Amino acid sequence: MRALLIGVIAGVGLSVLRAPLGVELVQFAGTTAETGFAFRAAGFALCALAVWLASRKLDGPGLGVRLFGGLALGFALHGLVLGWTPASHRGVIGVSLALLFAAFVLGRAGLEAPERTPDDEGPTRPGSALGLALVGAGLALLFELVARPLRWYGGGLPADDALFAACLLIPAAIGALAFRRALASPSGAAGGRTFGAHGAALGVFAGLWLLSSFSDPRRLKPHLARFGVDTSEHGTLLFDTWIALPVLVLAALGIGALAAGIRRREQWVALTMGGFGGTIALGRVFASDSPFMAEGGFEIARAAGVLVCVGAALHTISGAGGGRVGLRLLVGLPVLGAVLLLPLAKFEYESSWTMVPPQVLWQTDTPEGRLAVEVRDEIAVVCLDGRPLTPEREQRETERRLVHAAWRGRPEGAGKHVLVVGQVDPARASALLEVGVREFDRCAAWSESMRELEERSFAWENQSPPPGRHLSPLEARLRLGKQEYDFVYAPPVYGRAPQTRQLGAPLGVPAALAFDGAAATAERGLGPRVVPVQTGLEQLAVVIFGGEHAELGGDGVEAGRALRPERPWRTLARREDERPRFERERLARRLALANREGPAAAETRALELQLMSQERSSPFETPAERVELTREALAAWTAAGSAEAPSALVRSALEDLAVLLVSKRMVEEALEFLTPVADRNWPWPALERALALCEMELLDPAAALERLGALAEEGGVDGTDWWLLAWVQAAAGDPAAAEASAARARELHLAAPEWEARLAAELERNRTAGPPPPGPGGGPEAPEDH
Amino acid sequence: MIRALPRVLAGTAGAAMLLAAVLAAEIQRLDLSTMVAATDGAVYGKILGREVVRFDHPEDGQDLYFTHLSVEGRSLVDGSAQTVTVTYPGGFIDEVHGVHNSEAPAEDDVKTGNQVVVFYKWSANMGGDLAGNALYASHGGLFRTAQGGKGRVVLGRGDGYAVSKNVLLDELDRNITSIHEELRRDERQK
Repeated sequence: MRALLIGVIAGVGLSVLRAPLGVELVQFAGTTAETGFAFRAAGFALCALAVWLASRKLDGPGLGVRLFGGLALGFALHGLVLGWTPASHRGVIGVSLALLFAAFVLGRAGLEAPERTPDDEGPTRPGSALGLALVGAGLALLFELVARPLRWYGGGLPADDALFAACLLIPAAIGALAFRRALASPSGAAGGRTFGAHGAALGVFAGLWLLSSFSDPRRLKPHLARFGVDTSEHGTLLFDTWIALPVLVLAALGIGALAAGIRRREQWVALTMGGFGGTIALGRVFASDSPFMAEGGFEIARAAGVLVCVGAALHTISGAGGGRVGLRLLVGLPVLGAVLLLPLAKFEYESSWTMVPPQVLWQTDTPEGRLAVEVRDEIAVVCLDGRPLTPEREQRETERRLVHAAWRGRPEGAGKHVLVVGQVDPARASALLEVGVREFDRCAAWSESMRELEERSFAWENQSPPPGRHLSPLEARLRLGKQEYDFVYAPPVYGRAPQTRQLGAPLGVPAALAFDGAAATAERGLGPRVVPVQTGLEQLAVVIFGGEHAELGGDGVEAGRALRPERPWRTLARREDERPRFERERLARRLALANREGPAAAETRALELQLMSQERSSPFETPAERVELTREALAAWTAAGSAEAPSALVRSALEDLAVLLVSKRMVEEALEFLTPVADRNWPWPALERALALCEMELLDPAAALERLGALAEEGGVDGTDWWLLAWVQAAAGDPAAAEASAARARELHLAAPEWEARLAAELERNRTAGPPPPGPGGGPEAPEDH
Repeated sequence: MIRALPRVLAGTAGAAMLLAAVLAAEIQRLDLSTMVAATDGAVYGKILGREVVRFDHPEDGQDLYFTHLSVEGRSLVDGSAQTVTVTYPGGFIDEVHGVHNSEAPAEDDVKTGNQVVVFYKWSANMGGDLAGNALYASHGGLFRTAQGGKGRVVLGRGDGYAVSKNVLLDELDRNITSIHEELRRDERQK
């Protein structure tokens, strides 16, 4: 039982010690491979230490079964059920030390030094331990080669990674239990260790072949259908499981046999320290200048396989466990031959689960994963392992609003030397240019590929990237330390919620960090205040200001307390396209709760009601039709808009609401809910425009003209609204005024062929039959911009 | 907003094919006269509720979904009080089970409480041997209305639809009645 519990502790530690996104400010957008490997290596070290601290009393048959069973249980418990990660570096260290202490107590308390039993195979010889360490190192390398393409098929969340790991650990633990009796004797255990190592290595090769076959949708779909899973369930628990389990099961059985053969603590320690070493070596294997990266790192599989075979042979030769040494060495030969001669699986990064895979303009393998520039909805999006690093089309307006919110909240005078943490694309560059930032440095974990990614994505839109340096996180950290920047902006990582371990940049440089509301942002510590940004009454994001400048942000609301993290398995049980709604609701609820007594009560309540009312939409609905507008939410927005000075959030929401109500032809609701706000805050051109269009829908051009006329007298008609005014005047039977307004629009060089044609038709109708009734869409076929 | 999943498109494609088979697979350009001639009735009224049904059929296939819309109001043909249930393919019985139909009216159109104009035609077999008043031309047979200072306005859907431009309900009522009477006269003369 103690060994089982120590294994649980080790498993929890292994899961806790996974590098989270946002481990530091300069890694906000992505974690470097070195950081990821360092965390994982620390996990292996913890697994080793937890057992090394224990008493020799635990040694004996079945030790490995109990330890590994506990490891699998602990990892799954934390990775899939608890899901809690310390929010600070100190927290990680504290948890690790607490786990080690618990392991020490469990492993030592009340246990006396054991007597040697007849079954005892004696202390592990150095050669034997070295052999196991080499096996551990080789397996660590091999499993990384499976993990990288496996990650491609997942949803990109830590929960997906945990599930993939569980798909290896749990079958391995079951295998270890199954092999326990057969491998109970010292010779049997020795055989288990050797054959298990070979089996695990070959299992990885076989798994890679199976995984590469999934690149073809004609293979992937029938495979999933066998288990009652559809490709539309991508990123869910069942999808991930039935991808990973068949790929990993053979290797898992090998690991199980290996674990069943562990009878002494030093064997476990050797194996896990080998894993530690192998993980550290991954940092070199997957370095950007490594020759292995040219083939995506897969060429290392042979070297890793050889390492496993050599380690198994060394372990055997050292005489560990006795038994048929010659047989174990003989079996190793064909395995060695197989790893050297078998063709390696060529993995194609195809989105085989999608109906129409995106067009890939450019791609490369990096230590952090596969980077690509993909065309999605006719714009170039930079992706890492298939997940967007830059905004997709429907997120571009949110991106723009976030930049503006971040800029408004910066200290006076800051912004002459800006660092952007993340990938830059035309949308981000354009938003920064709008606020006056023409040149800026940028940093990201994939810094060596940033320039190429930018050039490709900008070229797609016939633009050039803005000037500035491309820095690695290390370089950025050094320059921040030298105070080379006076403002840092970290754009959102769509679909992910980075941690906020270092809200303030080094030496107190003001930083604005943006978070996507469609990710688990509600679970993050966001400081005392946030600036919420909504788009289209559907998308939600927030900006926080870091470190000692956490009070910045005039449009801020209380951030409230972080919500309890959702159980990872529950997240995986939810379909990918349902997660954004769920997360936005949670974030809105958190903000509403935090502000219910304060000045932002009305707007946060309106936001909450709005996002709670969203439902699944038909793919055939227009963007406007997909947004639900309930009377309750509309009333809440009216209440928020009737405040003394509506905040930026309320103004943007009401303007988006006006556009939506017109697009959805909710004429009565528009007049009922927008009129009080428009009257109180007159002149508000966006609302007046919407109300005028609604009055035209109701065949009342006179009312529309009265409204727009008053606005024009106040100087509130601008831009394309001159065309609208012209059309309304024509419909109301005033062709002369219509011509004058149209002339004004032409003076402003506002080319609008649709408006010209519509106005001409309206004027012709007036000449022949008098003012006719308008048609659909806010009057007959009102152009898209209204 | 939640975008629906590709999984349901197979069902949607099936429903669309079924609808096409039932309606002779024709995209029909309509005007008011054609609509009145082709249909059995037109009702202006309030949507009382909606019910989605699902059933299997040995020939037409499994998982056939239809939506019944109950409208209470008056006939625009003869002015009589009328409550009619109109039916169109597609709909969801719960969060997961159902099918989207590209031709169905949008959710905004069929909210309970909406005041709408519907055109319908009796069908002995809409698919799966389902008989009833089919919403003619699917979303093209349903028009929302809105109350304004000049009266209730029927919101037109654009060129090619029976009600292409916004029109006062009273005017539409008169036009439909007039077209109907003309059709009856023509029939009698034959």
